[in-house]
Amino acid sequence: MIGIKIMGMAIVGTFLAIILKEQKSYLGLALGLICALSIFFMGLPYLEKILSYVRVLYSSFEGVDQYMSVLLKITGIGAIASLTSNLCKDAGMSAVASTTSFCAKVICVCLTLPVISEFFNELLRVLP
Amino acid sequence: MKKIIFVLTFFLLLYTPHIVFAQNQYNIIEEIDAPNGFDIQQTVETITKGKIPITFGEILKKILSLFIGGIQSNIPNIVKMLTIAILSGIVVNLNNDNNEIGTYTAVIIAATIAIKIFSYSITVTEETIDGLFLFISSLMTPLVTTASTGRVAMGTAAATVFVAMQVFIHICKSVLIPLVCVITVFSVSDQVGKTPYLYGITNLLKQVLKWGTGLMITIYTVVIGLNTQAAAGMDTLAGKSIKYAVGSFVPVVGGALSDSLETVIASAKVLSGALGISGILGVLYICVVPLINISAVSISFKLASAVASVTSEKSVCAVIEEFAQSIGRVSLILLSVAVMFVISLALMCGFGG
Repeated sequence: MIGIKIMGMAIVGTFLAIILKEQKSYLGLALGLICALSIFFMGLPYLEKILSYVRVLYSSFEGVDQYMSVLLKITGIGAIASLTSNLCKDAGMSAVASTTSFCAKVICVCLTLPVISEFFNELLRVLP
Repeated sequence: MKKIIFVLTFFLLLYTPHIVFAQNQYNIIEEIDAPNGFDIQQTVETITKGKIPITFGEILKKILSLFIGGIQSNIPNIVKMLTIAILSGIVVNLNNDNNEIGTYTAVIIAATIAIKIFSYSITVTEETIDGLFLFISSLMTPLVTTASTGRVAMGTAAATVFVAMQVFIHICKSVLIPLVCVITVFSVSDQVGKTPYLYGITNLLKQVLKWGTGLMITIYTVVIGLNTQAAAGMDTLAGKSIKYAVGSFVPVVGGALSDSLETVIASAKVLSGALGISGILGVLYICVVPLINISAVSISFKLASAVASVTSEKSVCAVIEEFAQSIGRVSLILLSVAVMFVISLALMCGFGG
């Protein structure tokens, strides 16, 4: 049912945005943004369900450790950055879109740094 | 009357070395540094009576239960790997290939978890090899004493076998295991990136390890085989010559003396055989649990990789698979050492001849 809702919303939103764009372009753009955000937030609980399932699966054995939280954060940042970047591209702001992507990557690298350093430490420990 | 007492005293004196020899053997056995839970003295006594303390069915049952237990204890690791693999798939799909960092992170996390287990496997293998060597070293004294009773050349061959063992273990610990580590590090580093720059050298090292292990086992078997067989031949010849000389040239008691000599040698052979079988059982006792555990870890990783390949990025599966292979290589080295010890003990006890 939720799939039909999302598809319906997307089609109607796009249709209305195209009509509005011809009359008042900024209103069409705003409608497009609202539509995209609404669809994203409609889908978000499902993503959360998947992630919480994965977290429960993981924690039932060893407890949530730093790796898992890093990967979950990266997943979230990736999803938000992807949405924002696409919205900006849609609005014709490709520079903002690419900067958003870049920033997301930088944040992800920052989050990953402890894991990478631990990985290299382990590699060096194993090496004779 | 005096004549009877003289004859009785003479025969008692004749068999005293035999009794003293048997007493000394059991004293020496007590000094063997057997692993915990393995009563070598009782095992030797049971085997000397012609019984085998463990049946094939029992061994199979024990191995199966250990193997299943090993896989069960690795379920958390499998789940961890699978969870990360699933998440990596989600990250890749969410980012539409815009953000490869998520994928790299997933690969690195999987590798970090796996490398800890790999490192533990290496430690366990090294400790097991050390334990095996300690056990064999303490077994060597009684084994050489019994094996060389009436067979001098066998004593010399035993020394060669012991040196060969030390060389083999040294090569295993300082060449083969580090080589496995280097191969693992290269392979995993290669899998993290998209282009396999180190594929050639990793493949070369894998071939070197494979052929090197095979060559070493072959050379070792040839060296100890030749030594023990040649020694056995020499001892048979020397034994027969001595028996003939004693029987022919010692007057009156020559025949009895030569028979006594043969009895002592035969008893030593029985004890040597019993010690050898106990040694083999001891080797199996020491190495079977770590070997099965390490193999179970390897199979668990293979299982995780197979299941993860359905949902996740190829690189995550490749990293898990690579670790499975590396842990498999480690277990193969441990198996080689155990087989080498078993062959050595079997040859030293003269099972072949």
